[in-house]
Amino acid sequence: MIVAAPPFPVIETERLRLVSPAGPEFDAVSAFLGPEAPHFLDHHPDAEATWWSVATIIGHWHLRGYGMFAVIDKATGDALGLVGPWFPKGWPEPELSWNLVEGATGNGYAEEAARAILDWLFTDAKWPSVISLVDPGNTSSTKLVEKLGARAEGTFAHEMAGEFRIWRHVPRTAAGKKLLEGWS
Amino acid sequence: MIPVLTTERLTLRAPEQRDFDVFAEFYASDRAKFIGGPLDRDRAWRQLATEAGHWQLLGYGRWIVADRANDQAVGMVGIWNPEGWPEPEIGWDLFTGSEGKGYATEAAEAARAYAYDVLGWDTVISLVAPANEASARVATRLGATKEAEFDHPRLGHLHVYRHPAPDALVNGGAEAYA
Repeated sequence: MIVAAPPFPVIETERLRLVSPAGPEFDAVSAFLGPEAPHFLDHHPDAEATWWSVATIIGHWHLRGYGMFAVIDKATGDALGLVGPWFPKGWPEPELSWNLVEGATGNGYAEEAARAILDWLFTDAKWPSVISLVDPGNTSSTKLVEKLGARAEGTFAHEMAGEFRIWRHVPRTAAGKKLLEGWS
Repeated sequence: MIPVLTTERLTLRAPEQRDFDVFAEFYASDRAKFIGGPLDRDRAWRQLATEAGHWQLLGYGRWIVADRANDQAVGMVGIWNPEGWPEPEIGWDLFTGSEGKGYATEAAEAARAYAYDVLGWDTVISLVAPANEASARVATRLGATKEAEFDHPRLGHLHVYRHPAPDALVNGGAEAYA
C-alpha cells in the first residue's frame, strides 16, 4: 500500500514500512550510522566508508528521484536495511538492490520489501522491467532473486564494484499472479 | 531540504542530475587533484550524490553555485564535514572555465553567512592543500588565517585556515578585509 506521494513515497507491507532515507522524517544517522546502529551485512570496517555510502544512497534520491528505501520493522521501529532501485553512473540500467543489517536476516524481510517495491516499480512507476545485479558467490541473494522469479540473463563487470550476474524481473500478468499466489 | 541562497551574481541551490556533466568534467581534470581527484565519471557521480546526502545526514552541506543569469553550474561551495573531517569547513570548488571571476569568494561569503546567521555557529574553518595557491588566495580574501595543519588519510597534508568570528565581520561580509 502506498501511503505517501512521490518524491518520498512510503510503502507499507504486512510487517514493514518502507520510507525514503532522503525524506524529512527519516533519521539516517541513528538508523545506520550512530554508535548504537547495527552494521550492514557487507559493512566496511572503516566508519568513513559507511558514512559515505549512506550519504550516496540518500543523494541518489535527489539525483534520480528514486532510490533505495529504508526498511523499518513496523512493530519495533527498528531499521532493518535498505532495499530498492539503485542506478549509479556506470550501471547498465537501474537495479533492484537489497542490503540488510546484521541480525535482520532469515526472516524474509528482504523478500517482503523487494516484492512490495517491485509492485511499486511496475504499477506506480510504470517500469517495464528491472534487473538485479548479484555477486555469483552470494548464495542467499541468489536464492532470493530466484524466489522473486527473476531470470538470469548475462553478466556485468564494473571496475569498482566487481562482477555480477544480471537477473531480470518482469511484471507478472494478472493470470500469472493468480497461479503463483493462489486463486482467491 | 536544501535551502536556496542568492547573491549578487549567483544562486546557491541543491545539486541536480543536470549538473553532472560539468561536475564530472571538473572532477576528471587535473584541477581536482587537490580534492581527491581526478575521478572517473562513475566515481564523480557518487561524489555528487554524496554532496546531496550530506545535507540529510548533517542538516547542512554544499550547494551547486549557479550563474543567476542562466542557472548554469559554475562550482560547488558550502559547508563540508563528512566522517573523518576535523570540524566543519567552508569548501569551494570552481568548475572548469569559471575561475578568476571571484565566484568562490562570493559564494563562500554567502555560505559563511549561512553558517553564522542561520545555523548560529561562531567559528568555521577551511582546509587548503599547500600547493593550491588559488584556494589559499580565496581563504585570505575571506579574512581567514592559517592556524594549523591537518593530515587526512586520503587527501594528505592540508592547511587549516580559520575564518574571522561573526563579531569580526562587518555586515556578514569580507569588506573589512578588502
